[in-house]
Amino acid sequence: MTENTPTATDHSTGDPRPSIADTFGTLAVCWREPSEGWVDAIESGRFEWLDGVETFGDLDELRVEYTRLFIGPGRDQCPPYESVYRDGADSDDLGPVYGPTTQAVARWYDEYDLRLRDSRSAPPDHIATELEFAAYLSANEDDSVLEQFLNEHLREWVDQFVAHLRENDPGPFYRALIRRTTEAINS
Amino acid sequence: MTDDELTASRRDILKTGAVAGVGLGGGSGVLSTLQPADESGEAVDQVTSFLGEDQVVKTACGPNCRGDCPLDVFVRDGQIKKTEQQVPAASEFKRGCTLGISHVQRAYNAKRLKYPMKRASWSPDDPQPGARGEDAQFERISWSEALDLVAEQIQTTKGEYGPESVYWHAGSGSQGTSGYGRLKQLVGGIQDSFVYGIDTNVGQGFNRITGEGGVFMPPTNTVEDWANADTLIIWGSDIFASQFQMDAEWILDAKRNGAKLVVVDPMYTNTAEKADLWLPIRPGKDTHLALAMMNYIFENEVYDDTFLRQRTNAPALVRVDDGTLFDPTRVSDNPPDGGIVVMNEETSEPNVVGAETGGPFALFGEWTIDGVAVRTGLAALREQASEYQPADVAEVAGLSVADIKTAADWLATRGAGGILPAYSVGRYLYGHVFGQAYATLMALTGDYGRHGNVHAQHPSYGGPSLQTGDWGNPEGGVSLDTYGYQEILSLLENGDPVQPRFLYGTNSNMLGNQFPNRERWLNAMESLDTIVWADMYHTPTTQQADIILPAAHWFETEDVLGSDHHPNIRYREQAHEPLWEARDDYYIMAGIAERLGHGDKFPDDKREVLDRFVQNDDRLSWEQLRENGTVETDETPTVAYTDAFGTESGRITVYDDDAPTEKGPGLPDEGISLEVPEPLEARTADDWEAQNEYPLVFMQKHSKWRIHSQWANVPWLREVNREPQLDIHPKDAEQRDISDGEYVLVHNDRGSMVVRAKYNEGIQPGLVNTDQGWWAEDFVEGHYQDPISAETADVGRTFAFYDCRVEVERAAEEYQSNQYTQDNPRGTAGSASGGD
Repeated sequence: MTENTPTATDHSTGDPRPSIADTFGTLAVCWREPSEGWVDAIESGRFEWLDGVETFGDLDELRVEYTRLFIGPGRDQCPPYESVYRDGADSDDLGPVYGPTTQAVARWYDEYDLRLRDSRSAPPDHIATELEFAAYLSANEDDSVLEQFLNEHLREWVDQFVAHLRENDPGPFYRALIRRTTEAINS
Repeated sequence: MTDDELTASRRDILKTGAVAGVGLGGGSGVLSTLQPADESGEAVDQVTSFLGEDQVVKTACGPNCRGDCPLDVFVRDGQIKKTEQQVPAASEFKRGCTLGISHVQRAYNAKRLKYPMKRASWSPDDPQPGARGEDAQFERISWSEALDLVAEQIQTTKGEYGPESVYWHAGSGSQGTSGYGRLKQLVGGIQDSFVYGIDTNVGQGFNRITGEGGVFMPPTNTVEDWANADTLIIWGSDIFASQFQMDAEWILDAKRNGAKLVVVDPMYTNTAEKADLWLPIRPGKDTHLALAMMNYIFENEVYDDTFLRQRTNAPALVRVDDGTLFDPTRVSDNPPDGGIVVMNEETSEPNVVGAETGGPFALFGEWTIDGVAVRTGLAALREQASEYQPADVAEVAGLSVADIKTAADWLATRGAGGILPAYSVGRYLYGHVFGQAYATLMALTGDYGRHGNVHAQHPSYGGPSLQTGDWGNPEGGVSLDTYGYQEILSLLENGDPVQPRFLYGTNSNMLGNQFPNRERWLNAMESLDTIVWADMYHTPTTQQADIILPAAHWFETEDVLGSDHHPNIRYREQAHEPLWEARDDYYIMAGIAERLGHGDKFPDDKREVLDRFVQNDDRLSWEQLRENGTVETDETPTVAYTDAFGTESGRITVYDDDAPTEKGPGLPDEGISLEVPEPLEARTADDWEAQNEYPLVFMQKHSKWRIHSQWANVPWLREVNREPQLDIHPKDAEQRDISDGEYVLVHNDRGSMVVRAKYNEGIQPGLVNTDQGWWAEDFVEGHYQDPISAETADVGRTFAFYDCRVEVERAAEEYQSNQYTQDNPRGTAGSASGGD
């Protein structure tokens, strides 16, 4: 952590447990591609509850790992999109992007008048975007709505996604993130 | 939008996303990737409407299958839902195939190339070419960084090693207006070409004696005329599996009209199944067969003597002592250009005659003129053919005598005839001799310039199909030195005459498909400091790259395209923006051009370029293109070869007095001179030196499931075409204790592969086959290009993919269970398999 990185100041309750919205929001950040700004956020200290996540190591190495696991181009990649795990004809094989479940997720966002900031950059059912939306729901809606979203989406595919991920040798950061994410969406 | 704008906005999003997403409490404060619609400025109308209407987008397919198919793409809610064949303006050319209608699984393939990347172990100062390969790791970079790197590497490479160290490579994988040709002429460097190297044999041999065509398939009557044929011989092509969009229906029209269909193929194919007569020839014996057919035609005197006198040099007098043509100046003080000396049978005097001139000229005979012994060219050809009696050739080529005679008789006596050879026959080292042989055979039967004559599959439509003005040849551009693929390998290996250091590759999966002896290429490419590759998918070739650039799917681009094989200009309307950060190749080229000071040659908006094409061309209007998808170019059916031939004499040289001497493996050191067709064989020969060690001939047929190696990643196709296999006759398999479905090691002294054996009684004993187009990751071990030699012959200069012998044995026990099981039919690679 750099000396002058600002630390969290708006956690005034003293409760070490983050709110559900914070949990999903934090996980969403962690599933995004590592970058300088991302490092600043991680190093802000607010992620310490994510046991192990703060020790992400060298940024360049993590970016290579992120590319290998989530972008490709090689055979290790686990595309982090819901439709890939739900819309294929064969459950042993990767499905397409922009499948019916992508549309279903987009309808959720649409219900809340939310749009992708950059609609071209990635399909809307990226795990980070779904987690971000879960954070939004938990901050703005009844628990039952969040539950419905989790049931309809994240709980339907993340297990299969992380199983695929585990087969492709994730490092300590992503192993910790997998653990915390599955705990959060299944709790 | 400039690259900087694109990437700056990305970077900002990452930053704000990372910060804003952390625990800012309620409201929309948790959002970074998502934003409220009222801030987005976009219309709030993205809900899927199950009862809504599809928008039909007119676009076009674009691989190198020669179908040039226009397609209708159904888009709903901004997404491609399905693809159908589009009926073009010239509606008799409606066409399409299984691959074209499966595009939705290409566009939305989860493993498309998404972002620019660089190899993690590569840097400009320390490129570490040895770290390329299957284990190479990549790192996402911005477009701005990627294009900066490409431009800088071009500049520093040119500065340090000279312009010729910049090497431009394009395969044939994508049709479209990219500006690739424009950019490379502005930048300079060297370029490669199929000529000579890939599939340049058959056309070359045909061209040598007719002066027509180039090195690929020669001109032919256009398809509308094929129904006039009385005999069609499809020679070595599985048209009904891999060329059916273009040719199949016209062949069936001819059959319905009463034509006899003969298929010459060592395998029982979809096309052989349609034949009236199938000649299951042994591999490499095609010129033998052509000569046996000539033998029949001579013996039965069913040649077209009028045609031979008027349009060939059959009556030309040839010196017996040295085989040269008798000198016309010894007969005439003022001979016409290219005139030949013939013997006038009425006057018994020699005459000099020019092109397209018939008369009472002797076709056979020997005379002495001015003390010089001469005979006719046709006599020399007949003497050669006399060595190939049908009975002898039947034995050599594994055919029946009666079938050889029937095929020859049908071609010679049933009226208009046609021979449709394929590139396959040129995939033997000396395959160009077959080009000469079939051109000669058709000269004997007079099958040029008449309705119903066919000389090639997938005919081209003559005139320029799209007026692109100076787009392809920009002002200030330079002409690049061109090296055939077979020369490129030696450039890379030896630096002679130039040493490429930087490579820009596009439209090509050459290391997965078209480059024989793959391991040799991989080693040779270590001499390159920088390999940049643009593609839609990650292929075995992009895996070897240092900088990978994601290209858009065709449906994600706007374009105006000509068609080489039907008379329609095609329009591509953009179905949606490229996914992720993929880009239309045009904008990749423009980005590099801008950085190298040629930005003014690439308008910011590609539409400006397309608009020039449309404005240039009286036939076109945007309205028509948008409305109909195609505009007919009003080309009329043509009969080819109606005028003097392109040779010096204007005649087909059935006796080629200026013949080259071929040299190479299996031939005597002094070589073989090719005045008349001479069957030359390398590894398919019965007495090939390694024949006992490697007894099986190995081919790699084109299948209906690929265009070269494209479509290998489409799940619908992989359901029925699961894994590479070795077609092997049960007799050959049983001799080797190989059961149907077991994994086998296919090997020779160059390389090997492990694939599943497939008993196939449609393939003759002694021959094995693995369909072309599989990627490295689809093989348990090795690759089908590994056992194939990259050696070429002096004259042919063409890679000989089928001139390959192997041995096959049951693979080790460890291979017998693992890779492909019923539960995981597509293998451990999953849908990573597949390609471009």
